[in-house]
Amino acid sequence: MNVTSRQGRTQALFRVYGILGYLFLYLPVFLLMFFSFNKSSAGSLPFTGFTLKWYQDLFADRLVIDAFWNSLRVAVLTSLVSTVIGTIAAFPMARLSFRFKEALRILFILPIMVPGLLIGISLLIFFASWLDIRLSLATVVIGHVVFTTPFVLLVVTARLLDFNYLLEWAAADLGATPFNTFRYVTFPLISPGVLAGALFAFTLSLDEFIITFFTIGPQSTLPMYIFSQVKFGITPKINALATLLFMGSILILCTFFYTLSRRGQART
Amino acid sequence: MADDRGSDFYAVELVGVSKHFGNVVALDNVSLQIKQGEFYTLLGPSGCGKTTTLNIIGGFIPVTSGTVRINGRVVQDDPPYRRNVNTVFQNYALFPHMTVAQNIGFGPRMKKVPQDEIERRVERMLQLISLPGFGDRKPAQLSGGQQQRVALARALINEPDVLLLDEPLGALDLKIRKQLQGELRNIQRKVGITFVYVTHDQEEAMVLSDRIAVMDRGKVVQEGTPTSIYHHPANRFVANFIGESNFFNGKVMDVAADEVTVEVPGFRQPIRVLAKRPVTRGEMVTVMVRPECMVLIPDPSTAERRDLVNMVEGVIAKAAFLGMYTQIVVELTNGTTALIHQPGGGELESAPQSLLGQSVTLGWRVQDGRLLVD
Repeated sequence: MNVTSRQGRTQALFRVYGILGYLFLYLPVFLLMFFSFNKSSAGSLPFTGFTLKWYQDLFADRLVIDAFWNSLRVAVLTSLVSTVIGTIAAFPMARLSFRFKEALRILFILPIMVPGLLIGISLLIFFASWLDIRLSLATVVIGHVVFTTPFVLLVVTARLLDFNYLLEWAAADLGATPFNTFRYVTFPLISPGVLAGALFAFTLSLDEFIITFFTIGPQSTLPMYIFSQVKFGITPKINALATLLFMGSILILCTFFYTLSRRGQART
Repeated sequence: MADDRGSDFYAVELVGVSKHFGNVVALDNVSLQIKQGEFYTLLGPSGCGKTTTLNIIGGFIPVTSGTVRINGRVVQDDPPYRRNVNTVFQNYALFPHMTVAQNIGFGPRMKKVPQDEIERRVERMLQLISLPGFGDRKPAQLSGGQQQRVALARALINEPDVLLLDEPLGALDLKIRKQLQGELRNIQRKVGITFVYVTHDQEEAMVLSDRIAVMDRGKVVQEGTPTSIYHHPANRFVANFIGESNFFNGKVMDVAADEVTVEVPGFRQPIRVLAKRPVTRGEMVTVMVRPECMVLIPDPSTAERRDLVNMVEGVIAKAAFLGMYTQIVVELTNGTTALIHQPGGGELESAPQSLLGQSVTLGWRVQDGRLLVD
């Protein structure tokens, strides 16, 4: 009796702890979403009534729309380039043994740990002083690729280490050329890892600020726009924008896990 | 079509093939000749080089030196997809993201066979492996035995010159294993394709094979039919690996035209054995006798009549009735033990336990012993 009640208490304690944790993570986000529907332009209580005005304002703002398309273009390009580079690099990392492999691996992954500030400044100096090229969205993409590629490499390498190499032998045995082996056997089987890597790169690029700040030309991206607006105080328009971004990320994540689980079911 | 290529060639021929992995010698100057339509088994303990040999024939790993011929054609530099050889891998290696039908049809698809023709052939293979109607399932939905059969069909659909099988039954339990052994043999007879089979299970090798190559530490130690290998093992390793054996170490006392006399320390009388290989007086040799060739002699005076010229004494240390025979371990006068298999009740009227501690005489005929030099 005593034991079960104590167990019950411990359980309740853990539950409260868990709830607090999630509140800490998501309460600010939900508040922000909540105030994006508030009539008052103060962005704080009291709640003076429901409105979609801020969303209308948002869609009417050319600067926001431009920044959104810029962000999307950068994120898509970054995700494509880093996925291709990361996936190709994952093969020797997972399968070959060569000199300095560990050192190379660490060098490849290091940009995750290096502060964005450092990457940003060094890229700025590199582009402006050494290469003497004009800063643009292209330089932003290059900057993003530097720090998103390691994520792709990590995810795809993990997937490849799980891969049964005999499947490739079997394909070759059945007459598949190396290209066909990759196309029909290897790629379909590692594609969840590749897709996860691409999504990682996409979302990381979408809300990246520091590197963008140093490497961008006259254009703007969503994080840049938000930063410039915040200087004049948080308006509910920013709340509306953040809400849409959040919903978008959730949607992408859900689609990803849904397709992944469907594949998983088909396999068992 | 298979006949056009001519049976003047061996299906598979290895000439002086060696394979080194760094400093490790996996294969040491191996030569093999596998005939058309043969069920040929590479048998040996793990690490003996049997799977390496198979992988070299399949083209998955390059040779360090030597020549590999398939149907007379030199192939050691060809990649797997240019060899008309197919493989049933250990643990099957079925493509998990494809259905059974897609797995079986993969080979023809890679060779650009028209889709309707592929479907017809897949259907025929599903019949052959007794899994009709399983085409739409995923490999993970099949039992181990069924997966094994799909792997077999996926290889056979290409009508290869040679089929390589790497411990295909290794992951299955005993009952399914026995059943599939029979099926494998039947399918091999039906399709007439040369099978090269790798196993560490000597019983499986004996049941299935036309010929066996016994391998040890990267070398082929003996090649022959199951019966010849069992009855005339080339050395102590083979005798030990295939079936059970008793070994008596001794010195050659006398060499006659067809018989050798060996003195074994601790035995009252020397052992007589047929001279199947050249030995000289004073040489150290081993005499091998199979447990089923040794009999308990209740009354030594009758031994002469039954040609049981070799006799050793000892005390029964263990006895177990195993149905077909009784297995008895005898501690001999020289301190070693001998294993004997006494058929059924045989000479034994009493229960096995009551034999323990009894002094007995064991006998065997001159022709039952084998002279081993190594």
